Amino acid sequence: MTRANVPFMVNAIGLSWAGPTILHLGSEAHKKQFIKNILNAEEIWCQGFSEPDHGSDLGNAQCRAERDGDHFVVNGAKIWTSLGVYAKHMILLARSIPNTSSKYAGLSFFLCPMQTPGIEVIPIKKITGEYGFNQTVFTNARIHESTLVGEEGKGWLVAMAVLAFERGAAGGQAGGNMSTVFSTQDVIEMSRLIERDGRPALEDPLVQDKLLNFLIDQRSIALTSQRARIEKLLTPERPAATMMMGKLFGSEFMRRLAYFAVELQGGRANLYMGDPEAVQGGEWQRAAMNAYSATIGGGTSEVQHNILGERVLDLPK
Amino acid sequence: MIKMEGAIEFTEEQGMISDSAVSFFREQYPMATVRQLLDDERGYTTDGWRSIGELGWLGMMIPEEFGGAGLSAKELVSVVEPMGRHLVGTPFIATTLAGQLLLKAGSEAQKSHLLPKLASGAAIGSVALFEPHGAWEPDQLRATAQRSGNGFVLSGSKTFVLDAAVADLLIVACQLGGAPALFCLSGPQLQGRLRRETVIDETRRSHRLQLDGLEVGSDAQLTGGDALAALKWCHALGALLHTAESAGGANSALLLTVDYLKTRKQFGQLIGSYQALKHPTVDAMIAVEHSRSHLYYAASLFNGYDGGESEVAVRMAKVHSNESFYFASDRAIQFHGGMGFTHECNAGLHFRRAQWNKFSFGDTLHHRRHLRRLLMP
Repeated sequence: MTRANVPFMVNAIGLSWAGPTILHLGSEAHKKQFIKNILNAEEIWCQGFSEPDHGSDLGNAQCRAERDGDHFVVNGAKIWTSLGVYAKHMILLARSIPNTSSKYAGLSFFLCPMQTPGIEVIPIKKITGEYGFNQTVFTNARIHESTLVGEEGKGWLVAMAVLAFERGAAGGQAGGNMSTVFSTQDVIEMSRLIERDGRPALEDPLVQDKLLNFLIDQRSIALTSQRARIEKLLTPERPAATMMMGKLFGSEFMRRLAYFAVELQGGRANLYMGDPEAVQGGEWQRAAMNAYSATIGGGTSEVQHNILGERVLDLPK
Repeated sequence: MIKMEGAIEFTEEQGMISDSAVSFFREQYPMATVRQLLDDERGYTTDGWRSIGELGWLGMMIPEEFGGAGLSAKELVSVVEPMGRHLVGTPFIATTLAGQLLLKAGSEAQKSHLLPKLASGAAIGSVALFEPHGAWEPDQLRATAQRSGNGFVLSGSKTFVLDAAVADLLIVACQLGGAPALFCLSGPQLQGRLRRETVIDETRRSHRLQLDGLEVGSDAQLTGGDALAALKWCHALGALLHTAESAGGANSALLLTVDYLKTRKQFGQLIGSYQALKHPTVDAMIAVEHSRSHLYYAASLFNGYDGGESEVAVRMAKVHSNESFYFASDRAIQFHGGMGFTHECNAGLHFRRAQWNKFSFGDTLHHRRHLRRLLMP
């Protein structure tokens, strides 16, 4: 689908995260109520995990969900809620029991209806100049206890299961409008069209040498995902490595590649989307900025380094 | 050409061979043994060599009719990667490459006479490919052969001839009438013509070979196949085998670093908890994993080596392992701090091996130049 430039799937969060979570951990009532409308895209879903003050440190979520009879009263804010303006429901991680000994205890997981009074969705303008994310603010929003997934106070376990679904999909894809998926081949094609010093950029040996690095890295990614499926070829000391490192290397690769495409444009690199003379419509400039959604979203590259170091190499925290 | 056409293949037999090679080299080559062998004139033990022969690994790519196992490069790299892990220095690569030159260019008589001995380990083989001028291309030969009476007179010199001092037979590449030709020399013919080179990797035994005035019979020439094609195959396999060693070695260098980061304390903390060390170590791990992927892809395609996708795969794998082994061993030294600077620390042995492999059978620049030609014509 990405090859054919199919746009960002509108119910990505419903299909990839909310749906599997409901199927694995939700009640029978949840399954009856939600699954069909996820599959037919009747109801769009969004995700309420990150908070303005707690991005990568998800377990530290401070958004409150205070019990009041058979309801919870939600107060606080969530950020990076893609699709928030369209969504009917949100998978929400909020703190129902304050002051627990561990920050992970006390969190609860809800399937929160977005039309609840007291929920306000504020669009966020991205570095690209476009809209795609939102901030969601909760002010005394009352949601029924039937929206709980799992036990009250055990929401972290549910969230971890969701994150496993997220890392299985391409990281940061919910980052909004990453509709352009590209490869080194596209940059090579572009460098045939770009002139540098009167010749196609592709004829410059320095350009070729840099493109070669990207071709090698691109194959590293493709071949490692092939090898990941052959159990006997996994490195015995760390069989999980091939699966777990893809997000870090892949997202950084895309960021470097998109920026290199911009660099190649030389004298035209400063023209952006909307200018009739922009190279390939300024898509590379946009892609170079959008690429950060994947190096930051779904756990920043720095956090990914920690995760790989600690969980795969068993290095001390 | 840019699109990958092949896929990594893996067979059950390969899995079994890999398992036994991994445990064999782990048991037989603890670091104490490796270090003992650094000072040994031959760099290996007779017993160790005999075992490798008995396990059938020397004949892996030699057809069954000549006493080999008739397997492919996939199985071969599954043995060489664990050799690289344990810094094993034996005439394994030299003997394997000699066998392949014979197989590709030898006459039926030469093959049936010599290949079974190489396959069993009864004879040690080597190849003399490289010359002091430093070119990596198989056809850039300045050593020559001149017809003389019933045979040839050779002249010129060869460098980095592996294990020549113990070789029972050695295949040498020379120009003959403007085209590459291959000649098989016997151990006694090398007498007085070898000088052991002092090389960076102390596990290797490498020699300078002086050919001037060496007379060989007409039956010494390999006459069963195209010498240049055989040389290209041999150079590519040499690159692949060094890649396999490097993938194994890079993994060991990484494990050494990880071990140290989990045990060494500074400023009251295990140093592995510092992100300045943790993050580059993760980068080394990613590089090692990628190298292994390139290695097994190149090995999967190798038996159809024809200068197309298989050539891209080998050269790319070599480039990748050159750099990732260097990086993993370089960080291993740095992260061992003062200890890393000592000869006693094993990080240095891996660093020296990384350097040796990087400048054997084509350095990074050489292969990158070819990749540019192949991928961006």
